[in-house]
Amino acid sequence: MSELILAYEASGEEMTLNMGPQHPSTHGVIRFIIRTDGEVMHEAIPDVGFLHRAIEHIAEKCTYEGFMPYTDRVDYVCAMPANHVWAMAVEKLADLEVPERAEYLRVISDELNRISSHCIALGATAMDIGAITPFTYILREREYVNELLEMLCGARLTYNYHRIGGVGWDMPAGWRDKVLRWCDHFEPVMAEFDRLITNNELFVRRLANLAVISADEAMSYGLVGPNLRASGVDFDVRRDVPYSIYPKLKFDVPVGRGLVGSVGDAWDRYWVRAQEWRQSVTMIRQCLAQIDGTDKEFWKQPKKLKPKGDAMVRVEAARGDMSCYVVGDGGTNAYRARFRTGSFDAMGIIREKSRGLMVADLVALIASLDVVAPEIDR
Amino acid sequence: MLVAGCGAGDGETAAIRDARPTRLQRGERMLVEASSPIFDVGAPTSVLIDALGVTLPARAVAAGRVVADVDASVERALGGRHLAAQSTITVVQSEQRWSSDPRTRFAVDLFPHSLQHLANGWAAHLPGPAWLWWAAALLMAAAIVAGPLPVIAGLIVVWERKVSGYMGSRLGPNRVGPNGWLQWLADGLKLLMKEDIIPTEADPHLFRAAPYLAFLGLFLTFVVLPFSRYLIVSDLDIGLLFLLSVTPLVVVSIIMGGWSSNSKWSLLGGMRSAAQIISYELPASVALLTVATLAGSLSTQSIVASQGGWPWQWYLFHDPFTLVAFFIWFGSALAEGNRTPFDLPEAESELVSGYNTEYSGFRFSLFPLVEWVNIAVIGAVGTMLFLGGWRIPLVDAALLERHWWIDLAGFALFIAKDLSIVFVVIWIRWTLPRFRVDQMMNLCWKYFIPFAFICFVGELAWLWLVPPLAQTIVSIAGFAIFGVGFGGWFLSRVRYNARRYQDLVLNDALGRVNS
Amino acid sequence: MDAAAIFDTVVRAHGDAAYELTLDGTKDPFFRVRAASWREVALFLRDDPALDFQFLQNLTAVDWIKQERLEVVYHFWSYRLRHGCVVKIDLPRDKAEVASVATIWKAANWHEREQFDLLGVAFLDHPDLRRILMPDDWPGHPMRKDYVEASAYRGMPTTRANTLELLPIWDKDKKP
Repeated sequence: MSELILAYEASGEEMTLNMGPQHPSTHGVIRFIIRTDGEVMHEAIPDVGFLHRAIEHIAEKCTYEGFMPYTDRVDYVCAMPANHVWAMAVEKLADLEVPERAEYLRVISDELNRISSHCIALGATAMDIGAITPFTYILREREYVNELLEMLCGARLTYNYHRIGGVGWDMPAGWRDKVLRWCDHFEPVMAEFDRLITNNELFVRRLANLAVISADEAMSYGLVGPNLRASGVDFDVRRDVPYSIYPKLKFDVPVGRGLVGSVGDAWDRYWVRAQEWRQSVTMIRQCLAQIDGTDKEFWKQPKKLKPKGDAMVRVEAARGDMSCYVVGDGGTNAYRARFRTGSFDAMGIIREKSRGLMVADLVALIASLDVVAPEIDR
Repeated sequence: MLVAGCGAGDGETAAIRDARPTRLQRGERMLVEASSPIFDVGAPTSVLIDALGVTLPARAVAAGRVVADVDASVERALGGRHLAAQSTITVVQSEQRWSSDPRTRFAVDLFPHSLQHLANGWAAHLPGPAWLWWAAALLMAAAIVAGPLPVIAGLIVVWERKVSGYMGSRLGPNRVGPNGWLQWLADGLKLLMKEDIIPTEADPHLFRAAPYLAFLGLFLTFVVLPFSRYLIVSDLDIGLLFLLSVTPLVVVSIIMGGWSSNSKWSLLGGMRSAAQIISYELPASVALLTVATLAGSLSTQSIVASQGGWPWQWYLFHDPFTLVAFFIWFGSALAEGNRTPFDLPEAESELVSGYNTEYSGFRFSLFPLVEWVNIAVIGAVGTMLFLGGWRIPLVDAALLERHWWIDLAGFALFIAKDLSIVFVVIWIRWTLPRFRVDQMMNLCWKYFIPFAFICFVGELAWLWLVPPLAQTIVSIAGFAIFGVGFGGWFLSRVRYNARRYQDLVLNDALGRVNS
Repeated sequence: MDAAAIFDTVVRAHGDAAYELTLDGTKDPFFRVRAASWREVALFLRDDPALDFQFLQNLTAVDWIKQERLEVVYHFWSYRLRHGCVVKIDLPRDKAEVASVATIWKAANWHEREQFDLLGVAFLDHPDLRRILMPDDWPGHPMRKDYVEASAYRGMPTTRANTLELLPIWDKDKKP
């Protein structure tokens, strides 16, 4: 990185700006080397790795069950799907069955966590554009989700709730009604949030037609999840590579439509997330309605876990397709585990998309891609 | 002795046409104008204020003009008292006397230079050279004017944090002092105790000087702000020009701070600020000019005095052009004060903290201090120009003279109007996102400046073409539509949202019991 | 299309560049591609209308130290045709070099950098093959099975004293 900086400094006309790793709007420890001419950027070169905790390496050092708490740290903003993907990967590798009730609880916790993660994503986008109140406003809702998840699994951020073969605990008495009550409360809040910021003229002007990513680019750069759908690709792992009990649920997949600008601009990425909120709420409602018919069993604890071979599973996390590729060699530990995360690829496109933007736009671009530092570096 | 035009009934032929200003203290000059060229330039001259029996030494500067000096002799004649009377003015030159028309009596105010008087008193009774006491008196006066400013800034900071807290469903500061209202004191003390760090690579002199310049630029504006009829440091004849010329001093300070910090983030912040303040100075000035045209004066007190106490007598509702001018001025004032949505120079999500990134401790604290006092200044300027200042309905000048507490009520009214503008500024900050730098420039050059000029020209046409009765009807209609109509709609929205707040926040979504 | 059909399509176009289709005894069917012809096969995978893999979903390297080989695993997915495939490439462990596909799938740029950084797979003709997660001057490739971490990096120790040893109940002789 240092030789890059020196090479650019030498050219004279440009200014090299070092943004991060401790910059307020890089959402964690990410660094950008920005070549600017005044306010206009020529290029922003991402420098990642500041939050590299070698989680894939840790997976090789502990047992399959013992690695579960570490998966929370893959993406601590949306930890449930990371739990889920590891549990599913090992279950696929070792041919384990999961009780139906556990599948429901997994999906409910995933979707609740997706809502809380999108709360951060949308609130942080607004904050990076300069509107601070929507952030605190929507964080109040995230607080409720955190409390609900705390009632479910005792933790607010790194849940360690899913288990290989099920989930850690059944839902507590009365939790169902609390979730339903909160859903009733949250639906008008979403409409209010749209009134507050989504359709705000200034906000739209800042995000519309900003950093437009075409469908081909999005696929080639490996964008996933809301970022991909915002570019007009109608693909959702939950619907198209179904897992868990998602086939039993009815939900729409919001796709970017370019309502205020062109398809694939920053506002579309924001808007797709705002629509996913609504879908998550309907999914939670359906799950809570269906869960009553299931057996009480929520965890089939595996006796002996020494699988051999390799398996890859995909899960729709808040930042899109989170995959886990796990290789077993017949021991108690994974021989190799790999997490493929949405933020890593989203960071890869920033250099390309930053050309010609202004410094303030870079902040909006990062926020609209919903990049989370731990998910990049793992 | 020839007595020409000594005013026994023949008003048209009165020799002295005008005298101004008539509020005088030591060191000032009064200009007396004759109806025709009658003075002998160079001959010994004096000006008599008849009702007071005061003679001022003067000199004829042209055949039609005499300048009278209010000097120490007047001070002695006053003896520390304040003399005021309705009087005719007489000029005496070479045995000749010319008087003004006795029916147009000038309201002459002669008052001692209180500071000088005070300093003289000290020097007479206490040891030490006179200039030392003069300096001490000046310092004391400065302290009295500037002393409350940190308090104002502090209270506005706490208020802003409380407002922002309630808007974001938080509590805001509530620990220090009653309900957290002394939080600013704790914050200020903390900042004072911090180490004052000057980066090694920074230019130390500019870096040190920058905050003081910001301080200076802002606090000079307090000189001309008319808080009430009598509560004003100096009612300069060029008050508005003075206001417009001292506020941009802040931009010099911001550029100095941004440049000398030797940090690229500070530099970007400083550059943005320079571009922004200089650009928005234009529409702000033109919008103010619209009002100055209407009042026919640049003196801040005259502008306030020419408005009435009732809302439809304010310049805000005077005619459509002033209404637009108000919003142009308000937008520009936000931009000049670096407030959201124009807070680009210190956009914390982009530039870390902008031009003050490298500052710490007391030096840093001056920048926010200036920023928050500036909100109060924005409010005060808006109140004075558009919202009728300290004018109270049904109170005329004579009543104001008689009861000191009416003046105090005027002051309270001024502060109330000021604070309501401050609240709007705070409210906007916590609601709106931020412009991008090119959008901000577009707004200024493509919309604000042309519309400001349209307002100015339209205002001239309005004054020229529209008869007074129609003007009155339009102002009342404007008040009815924009004041009552919009205000009522707004209040209904507030009521609705307050109920929503009740539902959303106070009734807990998870059904827990809230205290 | 299922894995066998995909394999057939590739074999028809590129002969024995693809081999060892494995359908049984594995969770995800895969086939192997010879490293020498990987670039052509990769282009074919993306551009052939019957395959149309626009999305490089995952790129992993696995260090099989006992067998002295290093395996690079590619997972592909086609959004249009809704099918996927797994391609593995065997490389000798001491000379792990394979053609880069960073120009074919832009996503491969960073994924290849990561595998280079952590496992030392050299992707030939990569536009910008630098370390991505570890510091630029880090010695070795930490996810290789025979990697031994240096005791210090730039004077900073890489291990920490066990603070549990300070506790009175800590048994020094007992391994945790």
